[in-house]
Order: sequence, then C-alpha cells, then structure tokens
Amino acid sequence: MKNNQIDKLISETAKKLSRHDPPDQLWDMIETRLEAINTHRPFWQRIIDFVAGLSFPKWQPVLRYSVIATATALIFLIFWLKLVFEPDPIKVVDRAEVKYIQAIELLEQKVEKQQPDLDMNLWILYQERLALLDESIEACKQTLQYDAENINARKYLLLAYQEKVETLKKLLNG
Amino acid sequence: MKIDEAQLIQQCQQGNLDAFKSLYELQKQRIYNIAYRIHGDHEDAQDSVQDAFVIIYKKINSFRGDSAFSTWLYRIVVNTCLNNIRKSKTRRTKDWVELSDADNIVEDASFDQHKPLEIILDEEIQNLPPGYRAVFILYEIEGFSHQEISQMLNKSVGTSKSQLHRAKQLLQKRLKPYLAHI
Repeated sequence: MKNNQIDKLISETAKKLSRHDPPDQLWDMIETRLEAINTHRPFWQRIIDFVAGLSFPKWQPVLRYSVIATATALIFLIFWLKLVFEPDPIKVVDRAEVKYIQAIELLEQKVEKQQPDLDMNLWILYQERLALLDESIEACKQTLQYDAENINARKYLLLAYQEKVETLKKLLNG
Repeated sequence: MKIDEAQLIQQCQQGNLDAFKSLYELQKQRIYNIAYRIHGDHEDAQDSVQDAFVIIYKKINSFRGDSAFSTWLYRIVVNTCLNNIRKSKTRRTKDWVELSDADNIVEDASFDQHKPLEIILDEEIQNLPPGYRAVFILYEIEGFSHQEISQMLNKSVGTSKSQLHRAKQLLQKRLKPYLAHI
C-alpha cells in the first residue's frame, strides 16, 4: 500500500471514529465549581462584569465609552452641585437670628400686655436678666461688625437670643 | 455569530449560570470529544472540561467577538487539555516522541490482525506527541480548518499544516505493518 493510500485511509478512518458523550453528572461538577467562584466574587466585580456584559452595537464601540464617560460626568456633576449648594453656615445663622428676633418681638409684646398683672419683684429680676442678655447680644453684634465670619461670636449671639426667648417665656408663665 | 448565541454570551457575561448551562449543553458533545481524544482517558477528559469551563466563566468578559465564539471556546478547551497533560506527572499517555524515534516504535509494534483499523488508529493516536495529536484530532476528526486550528493553538497556519503532516507520517509508519497484512 502506497503512502498516499495509507494517508487517505487514515483520514477516512479518523472520521469514522466513535464519538464520546460526557457523563450526565459532568455539568453538576462544573456548576459546583462555578457557584463556589460566584460566592467569592466581590460586589464591585459583579458590577463591572454586568456593565462589561451590556450589549452595544458591534459597529459602534464608541457608544460603550460614551455611556461610561456620561456616567462619570454625572457623578462629578452631582458632587459639584452638592459643593455649590451646600448651605453656608453664616447664612444659616443669619436666618436663625431673624427668627429669634421675630420671636422676641412677639414675646415682648405679650409681656408688655401682661405687665400690670406681674409680680413687681419678679419683674425687676427678669428685667435685670434681660438687660444682661441684651448686653451680651450687643457685644456679639459689635464683634461681628468687625469680623462678620466669626463663627464663635455668631454662636454666642444665637445662644443669647435663645436664652432671651426662654427668659421671656418663663416671665409670661409666671 | 447567531443571535441566540450572542444573547447567551451576553447573559453568561452577566454571570448567569443558567446561560452557562445552555452554553454547555450546546457544546458539550464536541468539547468532551476533543478532550477525550486529547487525553485518551474519560477521567482526565472530565477534569479538563471542568477546568476549561472555570476558565471560560472567568474569562468570558474578555471575549469581544473578534473571532468566532466557538473558536475561542475550543481554544480554551484544547489549551486546558494540553496544559493538564504537561502538568500531569502520572499521565498514561506516552511522553513526547521525537520523529526520529518512530522507527524504533514501529519495529517493536505488534498488531492483533483481527482488530478493526478504527481501534488500532484510536490507540495509535494516543501514542502521538500531544501537540501533533491535538492538530490531528482537530483537523481529521473534528473537521476544523488549519486557519481555525492556528487560532485555537496560537500557531501559524504553516505550523498547523506541518504538524498534521508529521502526525500522519508517524501514523503511517506505525500502521504500515498492520496494513501490510490487509
């Protein structure tokens, strides 16, 4: 038999060789190993895999990068907006001051109306206390005229207003 | 790539195990057959198929569709089998045989003349060096082209052709005494 005939015979016989099926339990063994990998996969890796697995048209690979760039830009925008619109502590204190002043005015009007009915000794005590608080308020305001951003002065100012409100309330309640 | 296959790959890339099972069901026969032919042993073939699927699961996100998915898949299977053979210290298949040593084997070879040629060839394929064996199996049994084999084994088309030629030369020398009696 010539070499080319043997060659042909080998090729023909090779194609006729029996095929073998995998055992039924092979997938179960594979699945067990894949599940073990899956449980040890960190959360961030799953997110990356999910994004990477999203389908984009093959003819437009730029789309994938555009989506990623847009998402990144959005994240930066959110952080920037948060920085820009974060409340200024001085403005917050200013708003609180206005509310305290309004509350004090209302309470003082009530106290004026009730004054004839109040105990005179108690009235004097409270007036002294209120005078001290007014001095503290004035001192804080003067400090703030020179140093408008002095946080401590603003804090003491608010505390003095709060104290004045409490004192007026106590006076009204006898 | 078929649409169904593309969807399946996408689901696999999202870590869906059911999709992986479908993928396995689609390819299991051919994959197992390749692994069995390369190893010549069912136990080793099962181990290699398992290892290959673990690698496929880990690497499926790196598949970008540059080549056919099946080529990518078989490439992993074949390379896993060859790596496992390389790693195995107690392998049952014979070690690398240089082409120059083939004559000595042929001289020692004694064939049962009553055995069908299929069985003799089956046994002789296992005596081929792993690299030649892989090319022979992929080309002659599985029907892949040299282009596909070169992609799977990361070799040039020329290397694939020459390895097939050398595999056939070895088989011819080994089978000649048997065929002389036919």
